[in-house]
Amino acid sequence: MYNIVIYPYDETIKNTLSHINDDIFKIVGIVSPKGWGYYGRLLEIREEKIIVKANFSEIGEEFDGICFVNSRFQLNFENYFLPILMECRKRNKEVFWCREYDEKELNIVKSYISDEKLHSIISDKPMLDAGQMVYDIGTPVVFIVDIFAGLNVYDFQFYIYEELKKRGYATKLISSRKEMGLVESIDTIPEFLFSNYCSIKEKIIKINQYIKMLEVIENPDLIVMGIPGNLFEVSKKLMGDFGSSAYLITRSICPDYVICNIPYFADFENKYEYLGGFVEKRLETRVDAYNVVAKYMDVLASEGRREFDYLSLPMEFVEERIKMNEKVYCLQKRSEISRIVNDIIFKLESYAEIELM
Amino acid sequence: MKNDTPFIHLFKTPLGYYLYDINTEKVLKVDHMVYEYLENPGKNVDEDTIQKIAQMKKEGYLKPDRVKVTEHPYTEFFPYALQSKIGNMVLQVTQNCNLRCEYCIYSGNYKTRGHSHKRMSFETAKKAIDFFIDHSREQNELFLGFYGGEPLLEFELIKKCVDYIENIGDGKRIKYVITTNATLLTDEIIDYFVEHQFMITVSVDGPREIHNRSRIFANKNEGSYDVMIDNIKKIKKKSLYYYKEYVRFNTVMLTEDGFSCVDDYFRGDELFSDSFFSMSTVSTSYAKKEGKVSERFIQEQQYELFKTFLAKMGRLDKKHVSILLNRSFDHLRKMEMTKVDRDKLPDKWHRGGPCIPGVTRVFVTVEGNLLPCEKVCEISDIAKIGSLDKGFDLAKADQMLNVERFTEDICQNCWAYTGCSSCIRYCDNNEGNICQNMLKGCEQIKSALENSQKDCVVLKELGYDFELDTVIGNPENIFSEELLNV
Repeated sequence: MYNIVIYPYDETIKNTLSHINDDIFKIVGIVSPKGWGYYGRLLEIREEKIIVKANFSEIGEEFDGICFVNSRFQLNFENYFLPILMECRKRNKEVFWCREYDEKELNIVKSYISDEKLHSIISDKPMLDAGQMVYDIGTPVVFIVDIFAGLNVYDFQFYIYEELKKRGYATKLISSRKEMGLVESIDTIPEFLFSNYCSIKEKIIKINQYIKMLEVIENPDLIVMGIPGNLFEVSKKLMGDFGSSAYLITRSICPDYVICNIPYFADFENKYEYLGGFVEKRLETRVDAYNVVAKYMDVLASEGRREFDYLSLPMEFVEERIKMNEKVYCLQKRSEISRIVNDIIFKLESYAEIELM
Repeated sequence: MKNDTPFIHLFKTPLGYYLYDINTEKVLKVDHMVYEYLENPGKNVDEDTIQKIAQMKKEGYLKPDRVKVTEHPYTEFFPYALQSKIGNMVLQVTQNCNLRCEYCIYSGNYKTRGHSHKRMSFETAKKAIDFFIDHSREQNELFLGFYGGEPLLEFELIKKCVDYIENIGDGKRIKYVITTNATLLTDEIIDYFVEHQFMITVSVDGPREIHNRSRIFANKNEGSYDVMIDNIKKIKKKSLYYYKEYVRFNTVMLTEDGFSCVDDYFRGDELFSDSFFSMSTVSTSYAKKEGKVSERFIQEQQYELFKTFLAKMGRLDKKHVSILLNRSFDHLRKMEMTKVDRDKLPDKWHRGGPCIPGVTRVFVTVEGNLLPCEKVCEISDIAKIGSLDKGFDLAKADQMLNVERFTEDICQNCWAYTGCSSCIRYCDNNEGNICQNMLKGCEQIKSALENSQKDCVVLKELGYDFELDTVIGNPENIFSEELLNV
């Protein structure tokens, strides 16, 4: 068991913390830069109450390691990570590197922290040694995709997974958020998808074989997969991954149910089906549900700053303006999770009616 | 009654006839006959022209649609943005200045506040910075500006503000901005600015005789040029990198004079020749007297702009080009590159012009009042969108965001609807009727917009690509033949 400190904390990691594998990790401290507005807040993580601190000097010595996580806002590596890594080395602390894979960053981390002290969250499932072959996936697969980059809405993947499990389905979640790897039995998207040393063809085959391997080893009733990246670009000056991850994944496996996260925009009700047409063309598959995310993207501000700039809106804002239906959900609301899981089950139930041999 | 007239604006250049289609925001080249027919719809024309017009309509142009309801598209998000998305705060640290420039809007020649000895206390500044941090939870990059009067009269306060925001704003990218006359810069201040990477804008009006004509010390009848220049040289000597990256200049042109003498001076002076300049003419907003613009000024400025275009076309060495007009060209580029892709104007919309008051920027006066920027009339009630004590006045901020509502009947039928640049700054002088004040600037805005459109189409006709900022292919032939006729 490791006593760990989470850094840098913001609301995007909040819900994950309550589900971290408590056989391995105990959260003893949470640190967030003062200007982010969480300093001094009392958080309840499982039964524990933890006050968010602004720096490590307030935590004391009672921790074994630091868990470095992703955050909504980027921090300068030299100013906000390097001094802490140096301190970890000096004080012989463990480092759990759960941030998005960035080779340059990770190499610097490796140069400061010895192998035995550095733990990186990577998918460590054994790969099939199956050569140039793609397999049929018999387990139903649910895809969750973001239409635009920077939406930061990974929690829904977990809630859907949790609800399915609660209803008795053996569910496997492959999350697009790295920190989900801290949660017991959750996998994260394998690193080879982002590797520069793997051809497109190899990636497609390997993803397929990776999923097949999961199917063989874990035999789940259902696989929920958070697709990294985005489907469309909003501007010529601001780029996500042009749908490249989604492309690779949809070439290797066919989804049985697709949820697309879309930020709120004016006149949503009249336009989402039109927009959905483009989404379906891009994915080359039917979209079963649209999740309206209570965020508004300010394209001009985003272009000006060269980073995705969303304005968070209250959930009620979306509820007042959009009538939910069998295709439109607002998954920020927990009752909507239940509703979408009903729909997933309803649509996938038909699989059980016809048995192909 | 429904207006079936196509919502377009026609214009011509020596290279052709064009229509600006307001609904699609596209400019189309048309032939003479089409142009004439669209100008005089009742006119008899040949079948070919009728067909061309029908084809344009088929392709979605020439729609008569106008906006029906004035509502800025940001309106529904505005209350939330004001709570968490402020990215730029400017503190008026003092209302005092060590200069007395004749054209200064605080000189007494304008219907706004005059110079005074009022200064911002650290308590107010702290309250403002707390307000900033509280209202920028969704913003990663913050700009904190210092403005006056002359802000360097309050350098100690500025240092305290920087210390304070660096402590409570830890984790955000904080950038500092200051506008100064540079006469109070010392080694200590320069070192501090370099260390904290202050982006400074220095006011400089041209050669000694021109600069000194307006920019005079308050306590002696003497121009400030020599002191200012010595200090600028000091910055450059201390850090060439800082000077190149963080020091900018602003020139206020006296339009009674010519343009070239100032431009030639900056271009020829080693200190300025590679610098970034912004240029403005003496402000006419809420001026008590109307300013004069000499014929010579217009001619020389236009000639310099023409030279800028020639340089863009690769026809003139950049060293001959005005550095004061760089931003004019940037404006054209921005205009071209921010055009939206749309089939028609939305039913509910707002003309161009206003910023998102309070969100784009918030200006805090020495007393702690909140204004949308430093350029609005400070004594006007309508410009005050809140205070540090009471927060934003949402109704007033909304009124400013939706400023078109004052003149919507006219605006919604105006071809310059999208490209309009009028905001509260130009129409409120704390006196008279706001609607009339606003409409006073219309002809000037339309004329400037049409000229910009003409410049854009001529450059494009000659092969200039705005995205790439270069000429595509070889425009040799069209250049020599057609441009000669321009």
